[in-house]
Amino acid sequence: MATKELISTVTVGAGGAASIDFTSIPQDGTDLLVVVSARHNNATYGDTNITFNNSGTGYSARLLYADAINGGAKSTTGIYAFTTPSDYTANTFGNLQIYVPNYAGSTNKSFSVDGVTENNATGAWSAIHAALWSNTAAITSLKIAPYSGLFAQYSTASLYKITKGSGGASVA
Amino acid sequence: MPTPQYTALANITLGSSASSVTFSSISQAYRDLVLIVFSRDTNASVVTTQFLRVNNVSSGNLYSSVLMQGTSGGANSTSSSSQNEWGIGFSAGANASSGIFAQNTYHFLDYSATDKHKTVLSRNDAADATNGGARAAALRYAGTAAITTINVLPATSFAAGSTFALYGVK
Repeated sequence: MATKELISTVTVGAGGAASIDFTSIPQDGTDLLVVVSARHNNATYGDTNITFNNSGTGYSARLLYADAINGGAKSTTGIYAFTTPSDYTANTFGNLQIYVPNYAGSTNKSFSVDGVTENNATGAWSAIHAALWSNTAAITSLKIAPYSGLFAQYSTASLYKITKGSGGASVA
Repeated sequence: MPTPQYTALANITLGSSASSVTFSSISQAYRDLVLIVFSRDTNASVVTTQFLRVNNVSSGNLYSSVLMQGTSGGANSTSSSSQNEWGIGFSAGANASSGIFAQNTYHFLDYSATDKHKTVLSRNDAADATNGGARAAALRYAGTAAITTINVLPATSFAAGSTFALYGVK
């Protein structure tokens, strides 16, 4: 079994997509990595929602964010990462990475989200999130959706499974 | 078959509390190392500090760091120099809700080189709204020896269920 294995890649076609969904996620890995390149057709927000197992509850995050002028920190009750809205530089897509350790385990799911909107102007945003899904269920599906509107054509998301080794560490 | 670029080297899940976790005799066959730590501490706190050393070195003031973070106190950045370990990571403490762990990713660049100081990029996350933070840091170890050992240390002791996984990257 490869340590880092591509499970699936989704590319949005013509007409856009309301969400990108990964379902039936194999349960024999250790961590999940999702890498996203996305743009959406809403000109107002760059927020992108992340949910697990079609559950809309139990999410929270502490984030550090910045644009070209200001920086700050806040806590949220949902996961709102950034992708590029439609009024940003044409043909430009935001980047997003989600890392979920021990996704198939029985602990609450702490995970990291790092994202940027890309824009050749002062309106670009970046953020890092310390995120939590207060749910002990194994993650079997993952959905990424724009706050409103649709993901634009050519947006992509790739899901990787990372599998740990065994032994090789000592404890005291 | 293409050559694997990301290789699992070692892993441990604690069945009981531990005062440290050590990866030793690390293979020198890779370019970088990635250490993923998912940890809870027995310390009487909601979120506490996790420490890191290399090659069992705990003297000589060889560790420095610069970080940016978002916490309940707002956004800030700090730096630290001439330390005897890195105190950058987070662990959930004993007073955190049950089943909550903090997560940390440490990326050791050119760890096997013998002609440079060692640099590490870390992401450290504790999602507690009041006591947690989202942190990104750059770390430096002022030694040219190849890294053959990594020591991960708690504030008090690592709790059962904490996991530590080491990967080699080519």
